[in-house]
Amino acid sequence: MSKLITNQKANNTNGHLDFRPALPEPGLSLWWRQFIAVLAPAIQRSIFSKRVLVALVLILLPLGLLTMIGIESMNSDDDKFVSNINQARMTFGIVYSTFILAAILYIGNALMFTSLVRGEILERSIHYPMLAPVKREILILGRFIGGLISAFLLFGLATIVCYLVIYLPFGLTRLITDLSSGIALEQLSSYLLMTFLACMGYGSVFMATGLVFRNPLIPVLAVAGWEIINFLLPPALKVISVVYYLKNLMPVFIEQQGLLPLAVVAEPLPLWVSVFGILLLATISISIAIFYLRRMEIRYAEDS
Amino acid sequence: MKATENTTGQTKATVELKGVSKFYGEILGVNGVNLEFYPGITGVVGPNGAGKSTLMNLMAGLVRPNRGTVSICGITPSQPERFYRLVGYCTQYDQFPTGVTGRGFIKKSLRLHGYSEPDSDELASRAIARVDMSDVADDSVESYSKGLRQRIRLAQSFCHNPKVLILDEPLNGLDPIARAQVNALFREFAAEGVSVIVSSHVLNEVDLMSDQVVLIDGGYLLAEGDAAGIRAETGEPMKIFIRSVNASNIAAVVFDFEHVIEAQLHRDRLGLFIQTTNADAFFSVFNESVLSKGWTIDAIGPADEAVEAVYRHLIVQDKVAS
Repeated sequence: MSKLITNQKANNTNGHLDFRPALPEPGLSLWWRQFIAVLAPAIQRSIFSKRVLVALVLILLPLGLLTMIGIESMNSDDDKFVSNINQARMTFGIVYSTFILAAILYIGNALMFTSLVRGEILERSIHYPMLAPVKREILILGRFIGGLISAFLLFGLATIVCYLVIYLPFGLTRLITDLSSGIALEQLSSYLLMTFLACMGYGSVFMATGLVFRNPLIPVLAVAGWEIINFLLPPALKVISVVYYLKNLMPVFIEQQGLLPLAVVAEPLPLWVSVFGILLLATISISIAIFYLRRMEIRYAEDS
Repeated sequence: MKATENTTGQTKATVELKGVSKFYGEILGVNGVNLEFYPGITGVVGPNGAGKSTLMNLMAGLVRPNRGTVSICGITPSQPERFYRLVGYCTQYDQFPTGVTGRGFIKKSLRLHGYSEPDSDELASRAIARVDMSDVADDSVESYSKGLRQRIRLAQSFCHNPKVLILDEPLNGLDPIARAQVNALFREFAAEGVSVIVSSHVLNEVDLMSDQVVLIDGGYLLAEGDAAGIRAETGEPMKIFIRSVNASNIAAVVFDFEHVIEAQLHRDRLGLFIQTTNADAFFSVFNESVLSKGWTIDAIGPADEAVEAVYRHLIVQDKVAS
């Protein structure tokens, strides 16, 4: 028996040379295969990481808040927090723009995207893809799209669930009515588009900063500061911001209060400008990431 | 010193380094290196901090030279899509992507090259079989011993049939049997026309496996070529052992040879140690004497390791002197 096994091994070994499958010539076919080979592990890496657990905990915060508002509005007859569906939609708009968009999506994307390349550097395994005959553009794009799919699955689902929770006091019948009339679908689509664009904009920025900076916390805090003071900035500087483009997509009008007297009001943007603005920001950020990956040297001792 | 010769009859170098220097800030990695590598096994030898890994990383394109150029079959690392089809590199970094099995690790690498699923399966199985890991290929890499991790990384480096295989300390962590198997594997690659470049500080292993050696220290190339040739150029005496019933007679005769500086008879009077400054000249005259005097020679050969002798002469003595 052992002799037979030995012979099989010997045959396999000697046969190594006989099997030299040809690779496709550089072109769409090869690039697509390589893109998928980068994309699949990137999704896996994003979804099954410890950082996603933190993002999930973050998602529970607005979900818990909206559930509490819904239950409170169901139980008490007088002095309800939300007494009609328009008020409920407005409440969701406020929670979405101030809590989900400004905090959850920001921190969640920072957690997920900074680790996409930086995580592999810290893990000391980035040299494996760097030693593969693959365009650096594909290595970055595959990781980015993988991260984007994961982030949108997570935060898009969270947006849908949070939106549905506002119908708690009004029942399933009202929800079906609003869905069939189109108003709920229209609003939900806007929120989902905002969520998608936020993942794209923040994700691309954080992926690039994860490559450029050894400690991504510094740029994450810096970008947060920039986004927070966005409403104070002059229109020329407002455009360098994710939140500036996204707030224009809000399906409900929310009046700014508090620091409003200091706010610099800019003209509302058409939808296509908002989408184009985020796409442009993502393109610039991804280009920076590709540039840095091309120039990157593998010297782990300096990165530990 | 330029002692490199193409031992396989091919004239075109697979790997070329021209005036390559690498500095890490003010720290010298390597300086002014001109090297050519041909199919066969080349050992890169030097003490810790000599610049071996820098040289390997430069050849593999993981670091860029401050000056000079590196190319493999005329292609530079600035064209990664073509360059890394030709190169396989087993680094010293003993790390893996999280949660992979041995087979999965190699398949991922092949898929990234662009191989189809069935081709990746087949190539992975063959590479795994070559490092004798078929039984444990589907286990998690995290459960592997250091030796198994080293072997699976080795398999990953050659799974795509590269023309140049760069191996940074590939024998680390391997037990003696595995070392012998891996040495045999390198020989197979060399026979297949692959340029195998192996860095090591285990001198006798480099001596046994290498067709050529490159000696490096302090970031500078000290010597390159076959070990015997380098030794001849450095003037380092060669120690030869002869086993013969006529040992006493031989000692008396060879002591008069021009290049023999020492002849020492073993106490059983059947063995003889000779030190000569010119091994080729010694063997030429000695063979004539054997024929003319009718001596019976039971065994003859070098009594010290060629690479170790050169290493001792070029690196250790230099450090002691300084």
